[in-house]
Amino acid sequence: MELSAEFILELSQAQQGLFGFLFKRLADREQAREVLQRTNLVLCRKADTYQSGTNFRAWAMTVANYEIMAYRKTLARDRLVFTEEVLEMIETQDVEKSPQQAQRLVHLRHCLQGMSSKNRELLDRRYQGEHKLDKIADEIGNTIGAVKVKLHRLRRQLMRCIQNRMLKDGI
Amino acid sequence: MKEEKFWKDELDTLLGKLVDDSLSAMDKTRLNNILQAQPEALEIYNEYLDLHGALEERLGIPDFDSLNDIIDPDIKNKTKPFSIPFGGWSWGAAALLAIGLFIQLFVNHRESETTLPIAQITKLSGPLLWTGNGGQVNRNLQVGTKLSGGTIEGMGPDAWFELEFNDGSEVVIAGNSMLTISDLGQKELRLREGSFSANVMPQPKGKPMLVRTRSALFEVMGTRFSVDAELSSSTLTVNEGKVRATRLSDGSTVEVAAKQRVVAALDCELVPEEMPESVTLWQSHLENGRKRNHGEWISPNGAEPAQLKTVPYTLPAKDDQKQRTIHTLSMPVSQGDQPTVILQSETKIRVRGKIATSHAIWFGITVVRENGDFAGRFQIRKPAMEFQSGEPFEVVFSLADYKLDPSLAKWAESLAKTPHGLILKGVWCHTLWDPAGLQVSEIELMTPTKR
Repeated sequence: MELSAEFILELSQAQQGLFGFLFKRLADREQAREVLQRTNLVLCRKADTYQSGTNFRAWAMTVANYEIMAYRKTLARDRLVFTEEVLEMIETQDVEKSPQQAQRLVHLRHCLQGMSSKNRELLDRRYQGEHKLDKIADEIGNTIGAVKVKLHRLRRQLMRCIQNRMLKDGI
Repeated sequence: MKEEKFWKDELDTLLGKLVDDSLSAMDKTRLNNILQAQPEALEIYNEYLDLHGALEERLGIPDFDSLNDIIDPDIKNKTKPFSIPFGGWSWGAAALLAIGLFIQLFVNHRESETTLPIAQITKLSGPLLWTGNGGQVNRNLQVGTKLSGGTIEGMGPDAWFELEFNDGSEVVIAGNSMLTISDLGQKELRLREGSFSANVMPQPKGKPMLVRTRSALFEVMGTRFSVDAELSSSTLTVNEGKVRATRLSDGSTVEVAAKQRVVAALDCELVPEEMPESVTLWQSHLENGRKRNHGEWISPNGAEPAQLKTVPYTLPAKDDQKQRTIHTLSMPVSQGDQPTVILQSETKIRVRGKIATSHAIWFGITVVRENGDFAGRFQIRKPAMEFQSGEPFEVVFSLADYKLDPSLAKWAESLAKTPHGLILKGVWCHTLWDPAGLQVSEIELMTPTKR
């Protein structure tokens, strides 16, 4: 499998986005990782069909969707978080809202900049580190439960901030 | 109402658990049921998961574990066990892979550097042209389009473009301007013509944003400023923070503080000066030459005053399937070393000119806020019956006559509702599709009182 540098670059840049895409549809970190590996293999096998300059991410997500469907068939029903119906609803809404996604990311940057340094530090620890909540709790002298609550509140705060900025933009 | 609060609270808890990997089997069933029963819950779920994903993507360290199969040829065709360990040794392996990947990409394929996105488009309207570093021309720009290095060109007075660098620094061009951007560890902008404004986030130590024009170099550590470039001079206006300005012809350097501006030109001293008092009157003075006006300048001839004639701009297919042509002219107002012109509610704008063939004319103004932010384009359409073929005309408009350009409707909330109180950046006129031979001899801002 001869992969061009550009393809590897696109693929490596798409990893986090693809993982988020899968996690949202599978609601299980391990399952999302497994499907991500399968998706990566398929993408590489089909590398020669990818046209340079086109939207790699969109192409990768289409492949990932097929891999989700195939993967779900291999799992016992009790291991799936979502029914077919809910999965379809998530997908439909995601497509409908996709034009707003880019704008949300822009607003996220601003909202992160507007956070207090203490809150921002906590988010950085959670998302930049190994994600170990017990370690974060130890470092900041708090319980794991308190850290979880705090992080959850920060995410909600960011969601509100983004929503407000979107409203101001008239979107 | 009570029931709504109940499912919302429950969903809130479940979302927290989901991203912390602590959903029980029962929680999973409940999450599915809530999403199935409540359309609003689905929206909340999507937003929360999108945010979590964006935070992982934006703040997180890339996880290359899932690329193991692809990069290690010995295992690429083997079926992976269901679950892989995460953390510990796998982080080390991932780091090694990442290093390998980056050596491959950045040492052996240095040309790839230019393909990394460094910014994305946040707002745009009007005729724009993007030329990437590889020479690829793109007229189909859209909000969210990611850009690596290249040149953005505003092709008409109604062009407007805002981009945001990966660190949140913002750059805006409006009207006929040409700006090249790059970021190979240090941001660099080259203003080839026209003007732009920027709101720059604090830059890494020792790596200020560099802004180059034909005549000057500006070094920016983090501030809000605007630059106007002409053939032989450049004007830097600083709204917040501080910028170091260097005149290229002799290497002289000055620091320009907030509310100051400096003109880098051969025929004047490089000295920062306080912003001149704003004014409420302005006149085009076409007799002084073409200057930075956009259009075909026609010199005075006997009793005929100097004129500015429209020039054609053909719309790209994405904006107009028939690819028709706008015939447009424009004049900068509050630009370069000129004082800032403020529009007051009583301001009237008079336009004198002539038209070869009777035709509807659009008269417009572009306004910005005091901090340099684009505030909108406002326009008036006058029907053909008001302009006789080959005859001179004079029209006078009140500010209240101007309406926001409909092509900006989707941004209306963030733009000004009316132009009054704002800085007049430029004035323009155009006819649509037909070359009606529109020429303007004078545009004047008439305001009863001085500010």
